[in-house]
Amino acid sequence: MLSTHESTVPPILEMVDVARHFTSRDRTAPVRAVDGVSLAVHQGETVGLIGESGSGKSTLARMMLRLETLNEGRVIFDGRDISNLRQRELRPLRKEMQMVFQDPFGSLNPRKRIGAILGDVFRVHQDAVDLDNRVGELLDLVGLSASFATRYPFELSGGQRQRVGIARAVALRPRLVVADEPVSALDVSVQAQVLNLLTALQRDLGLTYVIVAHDLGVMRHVADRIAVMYLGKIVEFAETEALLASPRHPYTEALLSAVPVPDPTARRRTRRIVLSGEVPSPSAPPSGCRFRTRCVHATEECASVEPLLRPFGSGHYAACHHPVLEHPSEDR
Amino acid sequence: MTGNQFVRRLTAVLVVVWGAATVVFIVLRVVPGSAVDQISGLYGTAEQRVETRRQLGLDHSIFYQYWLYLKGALRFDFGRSFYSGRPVTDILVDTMPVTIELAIAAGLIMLTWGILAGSTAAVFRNTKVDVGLRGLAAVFFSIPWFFSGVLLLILFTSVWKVLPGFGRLPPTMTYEPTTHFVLLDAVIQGRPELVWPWLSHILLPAAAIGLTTGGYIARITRASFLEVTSQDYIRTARSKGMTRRQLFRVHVSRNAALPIVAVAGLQVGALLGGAVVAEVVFSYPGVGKLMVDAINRRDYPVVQGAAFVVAMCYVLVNVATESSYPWLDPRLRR
Amino acid sequence: MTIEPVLSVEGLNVWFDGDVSPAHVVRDVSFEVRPGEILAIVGESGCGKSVTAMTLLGLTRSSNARFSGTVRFGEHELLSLSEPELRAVRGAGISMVFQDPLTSLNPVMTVGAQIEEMLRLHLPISRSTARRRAVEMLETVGIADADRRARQFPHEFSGGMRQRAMIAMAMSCNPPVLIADEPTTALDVTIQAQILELITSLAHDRGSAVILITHDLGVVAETADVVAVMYAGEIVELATRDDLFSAPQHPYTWGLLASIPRVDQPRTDRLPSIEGQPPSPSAVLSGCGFRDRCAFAFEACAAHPLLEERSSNRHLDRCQLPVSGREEQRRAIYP
Repeated sequence: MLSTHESTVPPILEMVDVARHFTSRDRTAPVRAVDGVSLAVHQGETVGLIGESGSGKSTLARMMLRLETLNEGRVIFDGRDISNLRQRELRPLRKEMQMVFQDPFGSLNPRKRIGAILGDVFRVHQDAVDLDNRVGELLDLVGLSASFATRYPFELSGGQRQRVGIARAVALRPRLVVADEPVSALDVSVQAQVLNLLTALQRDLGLTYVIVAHDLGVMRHVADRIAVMYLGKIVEFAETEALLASPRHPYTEALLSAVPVPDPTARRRTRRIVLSGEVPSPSAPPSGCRFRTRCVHATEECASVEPLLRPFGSGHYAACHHPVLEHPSEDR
Repeated sequence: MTGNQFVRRLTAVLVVVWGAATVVFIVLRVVPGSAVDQISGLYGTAEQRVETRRQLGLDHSIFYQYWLYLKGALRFDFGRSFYSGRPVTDILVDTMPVTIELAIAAGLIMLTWGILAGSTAAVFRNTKVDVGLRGLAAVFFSIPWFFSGVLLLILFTSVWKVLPGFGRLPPTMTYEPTTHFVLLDAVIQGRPELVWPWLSHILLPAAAIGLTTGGYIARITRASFLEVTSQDYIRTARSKGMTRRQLFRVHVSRNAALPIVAVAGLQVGALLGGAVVAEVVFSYPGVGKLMVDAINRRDYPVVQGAAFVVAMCYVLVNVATESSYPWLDPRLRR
Repeated sequence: MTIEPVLSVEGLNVWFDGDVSPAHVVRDVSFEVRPGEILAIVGESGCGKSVTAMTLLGLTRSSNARFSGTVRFGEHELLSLSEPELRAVRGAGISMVFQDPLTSLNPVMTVGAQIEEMLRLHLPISRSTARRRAVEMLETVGIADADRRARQFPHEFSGGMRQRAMIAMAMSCNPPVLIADEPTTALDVTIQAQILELITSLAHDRGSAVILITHDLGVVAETADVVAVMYAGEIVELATRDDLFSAPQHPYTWGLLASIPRVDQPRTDRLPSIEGQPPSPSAVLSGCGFRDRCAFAFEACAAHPLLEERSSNRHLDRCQLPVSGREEQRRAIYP
């Protein structure tokens, strides 16, 4: 499902109707952070998850690696259902699937040297031969000199720390790397360097990526297909160029128009869609279509019937009763 | 507080008090030396001892004794003292208020000196003043109460003969308790002459405990102040044009108070414990001294009753402290 | 007829004494803002933009900070004002909105009370008048049910609403200058648009000047009238928004523009990026601060360049590359 590939090779990762609820003692209704999401990721591609706060994209990303439990649904990695495996059984699989985290400060142990942090990856997976050389090779792979092995995280800049995080993720040559906002905490010029590193590594190591981000510009640059999430559901899913050229869901359209572009003449060409109100609380999502409270086109149908994902041409899906069908021609 | 939370709190209170009561009951009977020996003396005849046992109610099975104890505890009836025969409840009515007064006085000293020292150290961070105050707080906090008590006793009653060394009031003074709290009675009975003697007697024991526990409060206060003043909202308030004093009064104090209140509430337990030691050193007639004497005499009902009541007070103070958190910090409400 | 600037900064320098050597965090910064105008100061982390903003309000004064230069605001020279005089300016003359509205508001005070506090600090009004005006301000910034909201606490507001409340508080005394330090960085992009619109419309309606600190050139393109690009504590380019984007003059600006992944441009194989890292604030600059990372550095760059008009009217830059060759050089980096 949700796949544009006609190939017979099974997807490397499949999420089938997954859901994650957070219950709290005080509230009666649980927060449904991810509420019925299905997604397939194919070998070698980059799938982007985009959404704003409360969309569930980070939770979904963690569920892919079983870093979050699944309350409903299944995760199938490389043909194998890993939804209910215990941590012990999952451990050998961790060699195949890794994560890069957002916060380059928080994800590295401040008391260990870089060399030790990277060496640990090998040690944990019983692969501790010739560590010094391999750590050196790893640092080289991410564009850092071998001298970084003896330094502590606090001596490194944000970009350098993120490179170490990436090195740690690819050390054992995984097949799937999930990156949760890998460049959000970085300055613009450093962001570009890290994005280049990610694309180069994908090419050289044959990696498959799932990238979570809130920045559509970053997404356009790295993702092959993009899933737009809102309040725990995928509202639109398509190949990047198709999504940006002709978004079908009003939220995608609004998201696209809200991104400030570094070109003063651009705004004069497109019209800005300003969404009214704020994102509703995830513990009390609106009935029917969750986006209807902020949507200009909302009707009664939207309040009573939840729209399901429907196809709009090859591999393009959107969940809306009144999808956007016309797009004024613009240069995009 | 929701009904559900209230029930859970109440259950917790009951469980803790029951636990304390049970432990005391068991320990009393395990400890060598029996009540019978105390009362009959070593030379009592066998028949006398049997009779004493029966009179004290110790001839019943231990489970029955336990059952009687708990049953009575629920009605605050702990029987009569083996020693004096007075109802334990009456004895407690005489002595609990004394300890409560002492704990409150000690608490005031603890908070005043602790908060002043801590906030001053925070304001003058990393200067000699700060280092000095922190050192002082650490020294004070490390001093055991019997040491501070005896030290103060010697200093103020022997070396400088300025304060009395024992009792709650001068032995020559008559006092007919109405509420059993001296300050209240001074007002109600119209006897202002009670106040100063009472104050001069309570000062040393309260200081013995308050100064030492205050050291801990000083450290918490300092840490809390430093944390609050580095917060973004303080920067916002400064950018509005507030003076340091206004900043302090409105923004810093309300936020810094949260952990201080939490710690101070928990320190009450320490105060009660310290009260025991101080009462013994200063012969202050409170529950602590009562318990020590009663234990020495194996006066089971008094010990059991006092322990029960003290445990209850401790738990109630803790509950009250915890209940105050949502009031102080709106983020904890609902 | 030119309008007088409401705030003018000349030769501002800020040093922080460090353990090893003093850090020259703000180097010789000069700019002015006019009423109703939005000046964006854009740069990456560590470039000194936030310190510049906070220095205008005297918030960086401490035992290890040193200043030089002049900051003229009305008849005042802000750097030489005493603390009580400065307090009168804060909030009423120049007020500030900070980046993270959750941590920038006192969590144990109601939102209304915090706005009232601002009002009563500077205006001789009663409590009830202040309360009324606080509610009105909340309405002005688009918060529905303002009366009830004023009695709520910051954690009961959503992120966008909190920022609106901060803006309400900052504008409540109608200050001639509003400084917004990364006001939308912590917010969702759909909310970001709302907040920027709010700031610009408030400024225009009330004739306030806005100094907008940001790292996002997209925000600059949408919002600013005048732009100052900062690097390593210095302003390296200063121009109107249209001039800056149509004809940027400094190689750092080119690099910055080129390295942004654009949502409105197709993907390229490799995103251009500026190699290396910015110098640390405690480093002593010799010559042009960007020299080590610049593809076009030549001998003249060893001399410290001044911020001057070189290319066109009212477009200043701090680069010694000959103007005639710049367009071609720029296209090599930022097509």
